[in-house]
Amino acid sequence: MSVPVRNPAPPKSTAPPLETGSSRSRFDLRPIYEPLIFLSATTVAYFVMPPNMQYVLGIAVIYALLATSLGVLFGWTGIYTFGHAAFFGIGAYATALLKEQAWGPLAFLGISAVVAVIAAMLIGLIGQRLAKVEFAMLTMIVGQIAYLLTFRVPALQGDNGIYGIPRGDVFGIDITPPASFWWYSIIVVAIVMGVLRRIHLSAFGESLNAIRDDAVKAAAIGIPVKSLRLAAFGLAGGVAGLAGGLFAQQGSIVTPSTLSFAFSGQIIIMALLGGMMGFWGPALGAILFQFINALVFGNSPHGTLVLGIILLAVVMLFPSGVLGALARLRDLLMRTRSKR
Amino acid sequence: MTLLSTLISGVAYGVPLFLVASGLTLIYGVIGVLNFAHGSFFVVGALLATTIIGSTVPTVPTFIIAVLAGAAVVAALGMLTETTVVRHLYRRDHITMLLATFAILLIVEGAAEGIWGNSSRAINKPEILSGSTQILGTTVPLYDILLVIVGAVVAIGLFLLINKSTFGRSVRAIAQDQVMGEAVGLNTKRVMLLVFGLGSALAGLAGALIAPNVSVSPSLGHAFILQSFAIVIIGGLGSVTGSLVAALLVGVSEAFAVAYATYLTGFTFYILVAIILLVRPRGLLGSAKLGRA
Repeated sequence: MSVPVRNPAPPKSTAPPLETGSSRSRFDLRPIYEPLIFLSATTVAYFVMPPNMQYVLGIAVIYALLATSLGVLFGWTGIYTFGHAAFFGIGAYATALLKEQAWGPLAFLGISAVVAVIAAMLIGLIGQRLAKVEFAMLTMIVGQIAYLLTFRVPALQGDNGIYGIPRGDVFGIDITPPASFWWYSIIVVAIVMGVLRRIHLSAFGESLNAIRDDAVKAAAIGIPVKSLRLAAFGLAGGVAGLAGGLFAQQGSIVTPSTLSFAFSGQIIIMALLGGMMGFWGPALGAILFQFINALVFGNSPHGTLVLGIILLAVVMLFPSGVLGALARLRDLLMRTRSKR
Repeated sequence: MTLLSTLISGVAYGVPLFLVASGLTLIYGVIGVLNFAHGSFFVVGALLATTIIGSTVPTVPTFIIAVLAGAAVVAALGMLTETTVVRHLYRRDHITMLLATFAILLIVEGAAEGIWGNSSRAINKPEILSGSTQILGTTVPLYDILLVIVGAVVAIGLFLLINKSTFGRSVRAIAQDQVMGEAVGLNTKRVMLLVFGLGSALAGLAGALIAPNVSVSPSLGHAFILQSFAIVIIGGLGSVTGSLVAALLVGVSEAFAVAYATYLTGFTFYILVAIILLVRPRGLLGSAKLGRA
């Protein structure tokens, strides 16, 4: 994971690593109103949509959370991973394996997140000495091991997957009906997005950006690069695991495909499509991707081909995704207006 | 199963992995691109071979044609990829390149599904190659011996090409310092194109060679590309010799697992990767530069 950091950070740096900007963000309301906008926009959309599109959106908001967790690594910290589906799958299987227990859906989400955090920290520790590309390959390999394990461990039921995962009730409200489940999942997603947004704006988030921009310089100004990278990996893994738990409750079935290499690739495409540079880019990309998937080529036999063409076009023409393209368009408009 | 036959089948298992991984590591060493599409190139080689061999009664000439056609078509595919996509992204970062080649993987795989369909297909070897022979009292399949010979020929050929030929000298120069190579009058663009073609040809060759031993489908590439990526990493990025050592290590350990520890089958490889990465994060021969390995 670590790029050659020749001078490791001095051990005592308990104070917030970066002072600038953190004072402004302390009273920042963005972590509150942005998730609220997200929640209301998707909810309005949900209730005006036909049922089959409601189903698509229900999955899309879960993927939005998953793509954002990948953004923590790719966009915030500059850690490349090709096995992110593993954490999503680990979370989903954690919830699935506990289906007999009556602890309530929120407890399952917590457990899913914790299990995924532990898995992510383990991989982060193993990969600490690896350079960027090697680490990306390690995550790919680990992801494949997790995928293969679903076929080897009898309790995980191989190809059939685990089904019959109950939704249960939250604070006495039954979340089995689709509309109730929508409220449950969108509130969970919005809260976690808000927490992530807060972290993104915090000194920790800014330190991650510094590591992404230049790890050697970041270490030189006293940022504990290795441990913060590990923390970012744990955070991303945990959020992905939570999204996985939610996904298991949503569909009430978990199959090995949630861990597959192809799905890891799809998560990257989602995040890239929206744009990695902004906080909301990956989430936007995930929702767009889900709808493109459902409307354009979901049932087409050429799905893989179209997916590849979309990705190639994004990478070559719009490397900063939809958000980046929008920003460029806005700049262009501003410039023409100021010329007048 | 005796020790010797296990060893030979392990080496034979390792040869296709070596072919795929050496192409991958060659491209990485010279151009600095980890080519995800390599796995799909491998599949195209295998599918082409099944079509050519499967359309007639398998004989030695059709087999040779199939293998050569697999290598040639895939080389063309690789060169097309280099000119249309990879060349335009040299100045961008590693991740852009990984994602672009990942897109090509999806495109080639999708196109292969369109052409060949999703079902898996199996073909027979030419009769003369499907038998087995006795070596030191143990039975060894002839096809395994063929694979071992092909692996040896390719390994020696690559070594000579990189270390002894004029082309190899320019390849090594560009791997060391591309700008300097250009300054002393090398046609870097052409050399890089040829390296991409050569690397891809190795993938196509591996695909065609493995076709009679497995059931071939467009998704065959996934498992294989993962294994060859791992071999490139544990061998050390950019080291052809490293990929040979790593591929043989993986092949032999897998064969021993099949023979003596069945519950480890399919996992020895991952365990090996974990151990080697923990002990040597830069891979077995990671410090060695291309050509000097």
